[in-house]
Amino acid sequence: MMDIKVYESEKLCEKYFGFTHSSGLKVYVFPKNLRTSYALFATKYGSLENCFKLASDNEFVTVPAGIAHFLEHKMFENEDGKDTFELFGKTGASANAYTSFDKTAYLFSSTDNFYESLEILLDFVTHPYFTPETVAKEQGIIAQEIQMYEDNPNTRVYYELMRALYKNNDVRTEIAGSVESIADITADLLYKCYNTFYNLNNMVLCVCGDVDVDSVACVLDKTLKKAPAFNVVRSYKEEDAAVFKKRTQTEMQVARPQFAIGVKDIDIPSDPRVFAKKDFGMRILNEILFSSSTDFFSDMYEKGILNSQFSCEYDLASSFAYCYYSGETDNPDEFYEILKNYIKECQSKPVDKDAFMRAKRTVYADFVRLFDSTDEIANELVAYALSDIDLFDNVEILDSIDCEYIDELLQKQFKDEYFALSVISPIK
Amino acid sequence: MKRVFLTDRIAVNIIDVDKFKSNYLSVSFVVPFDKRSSAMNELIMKILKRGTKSYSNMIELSKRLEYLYSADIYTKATSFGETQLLSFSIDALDNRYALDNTDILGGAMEVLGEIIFSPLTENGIFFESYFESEKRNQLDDIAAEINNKAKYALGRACEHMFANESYRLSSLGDIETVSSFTNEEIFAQYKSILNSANIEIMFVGHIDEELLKSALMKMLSSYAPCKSLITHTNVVRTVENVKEVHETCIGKQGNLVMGFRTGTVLADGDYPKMALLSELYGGSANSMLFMNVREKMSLCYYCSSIPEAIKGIMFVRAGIENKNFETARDAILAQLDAVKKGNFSDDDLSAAKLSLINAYHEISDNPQSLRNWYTGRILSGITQSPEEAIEEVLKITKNEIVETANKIELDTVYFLEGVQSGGEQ
Repeated sequence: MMDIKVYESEKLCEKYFGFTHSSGLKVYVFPKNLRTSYALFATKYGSLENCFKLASDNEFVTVPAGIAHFLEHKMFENEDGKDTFELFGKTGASANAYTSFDKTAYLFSSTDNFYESLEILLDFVTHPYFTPETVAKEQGIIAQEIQMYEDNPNTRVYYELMRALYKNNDVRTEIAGSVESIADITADLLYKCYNTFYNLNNMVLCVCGDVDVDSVACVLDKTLKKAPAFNVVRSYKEEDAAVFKKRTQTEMQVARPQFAIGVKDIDIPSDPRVFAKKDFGMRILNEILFSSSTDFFSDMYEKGILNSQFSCEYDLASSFAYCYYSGETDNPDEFYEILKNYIKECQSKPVDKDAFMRAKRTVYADFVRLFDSTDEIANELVAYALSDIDLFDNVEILDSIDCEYIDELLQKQFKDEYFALSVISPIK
Repeated sequence: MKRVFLTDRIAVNIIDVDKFKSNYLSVSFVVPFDKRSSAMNELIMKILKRGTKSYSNMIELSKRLEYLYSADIYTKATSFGETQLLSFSIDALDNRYALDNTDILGGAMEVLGEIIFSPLTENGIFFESYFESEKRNQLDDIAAEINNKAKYALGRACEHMFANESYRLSSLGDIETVSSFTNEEIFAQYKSILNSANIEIMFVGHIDEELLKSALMKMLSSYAPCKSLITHTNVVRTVENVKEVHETCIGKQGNLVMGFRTGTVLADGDYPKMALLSELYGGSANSMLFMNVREKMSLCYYCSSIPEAIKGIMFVRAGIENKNFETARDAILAQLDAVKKGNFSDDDLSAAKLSLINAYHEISDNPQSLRNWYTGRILSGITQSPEEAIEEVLKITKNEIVETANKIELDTVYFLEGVQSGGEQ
């Protein structure tokens, strides 16, 4: 018998189930009264895993940048020549996939024939098939995808910033790689990556919608075999706390200069609850510092220095973290100084209690509203599956955050040497 | 959906569902799309969000909304064919999930009413600095259209395709038009909308209907239009000369946009045929465009068709290498030709049906999709629900698809070539 864990939240009126299937796969099932059901099958393998070995190997192997993403594309082809999208055509499900820095996810949404679609999903992701011909064909498609991103100022300003913030970490490199790097990808290398990371013990399945545990387990029993032990050694590169470069500039055809300001953070909590607390804490802090209710934003907006394009984020992952402030302004260097001085000024006084309360409400409401979409629930569950904490614990973790904690973050996170600026200036 | 009238000028469309943790309300003024007045309306929508009599600036307005659990209030001008909807929307957490006894929806409706009817004014016109800064923002937004090359290409394709019609994708307007706007003129336009436009309201969420109606009556108490406005979309069904336009931008990729006149619109009553045709042709990852132009020919990362149901148009878009322009254009047309000749299998058609039905079912899970679905139909004088459309889709035959395809005519081929510049690093 499988040991099924039940997670329940009275406040949110929601409940989900988690278990580990005999194949080794970790599974979450979130029943939800919506028309759309959603399934997401992910491996903890993303663009950062460019250097690894099996525990029994002597040498690390280094693979071309962009290979995880390339592999994601190639998984949709099958040995019998049938395209996976054609198989989903028989169930009506809408299928897709994405690759991030730390995972590759295959997914579909459907309003009928859920379990048939689930079977297709589990089957195609567990059956790789690559040949030199199909690899060559994909290089043309992905080259166009890469060029699409290269023409996008938001993507460019982001990666240029990553290359300034980090010296060694592979977040410096585009997830899809470059036209040059993907030219080195071969069918053999794809198999090497596949056989290493697409191990059910390194994977998770999250389903949400009109679904039940027994029926999901039934499909799993039918399609999955027990996986061998997962024993991979990854080689991560050390990073300094300080940024690699303070400033970077590129030219593109844009109307006004685009900027991204990054604040590097290498203090990544290993305890999952502390990790979640920091994630919420930084989001609250960003709200307090930069929301449209602040004097700062209002003043910048009135003066025309910022417009509604301005956005602030905090990104926290297991091997990197940073604050990211982006937008467009006529003089990015001037705004950069204004922003740094403003943060210094904020550090010299305690956080405003009323602003804290409002920011906490905002972050809480964002979290609750995530439960209106099966897609968002499944994606959130994947993130938590990797850290093993209960998604609903977030309500309590968020509640435990006090003003003192936010003050502490404000003092710690914004040292001068953590800042970098990326600018895209218009071609003259 | 239930449709009731608060007055002969205010229609309320209620979708009563208990499955969401938030409520959605949009109050839309229905006006004709016209290049100049639509750009004015776009500006008005921006100014109104800057400050009201009770919440005179961004800080006060934002603080109030943050107390209401970060209730989202947005103002947006959107086009439905040649009709523009000026929408004031709320997307807010349901009261049940408040951590205290805050009346989130009630509070948000109070703010929404202020934004629509009580803008901050001085000397009988909009507060001057709000007018000036939002005009500047709109000019910046127009200039920034070049930043996103794929979207820019689509906008340019529309400029050429609808050179003599009022249809446009964006209501931002052009630099010359917006530069000429005065505060007096903009304020007069605002007053004229309140005095002449009908209101369409959409509510998606869970609430007692009578309570909602009385709250809306209170919110709209100062709305008393004396004039009326007629909106109409001119549907062009035939093409005399196919236009081909080439322009350049600085970039790595070429952006191809092909504009078609479909000859089928919602008001015709058989629109599901066109929707199904587009699904088969280029609407999914199993479609003819995806399978051939992308998968077989490796020409692009994306190649898809997007139909528009009121003006009767369809765009096919692809990001390609410059040198593949002709190959891609011809391949896209060849696939349409295949549909016109019935060169697709029954399996292809049933896959397209399942895929479209899936998309139609999914609409009920998203308040904004519901709003867009019903608004398009209301403006076309029909009342079909997604479920009713599904019944239609199931009955469509191969012959009907072929017939519908043969009404489609190519109008404009637009190619934005990406060229290198010496300045780029």
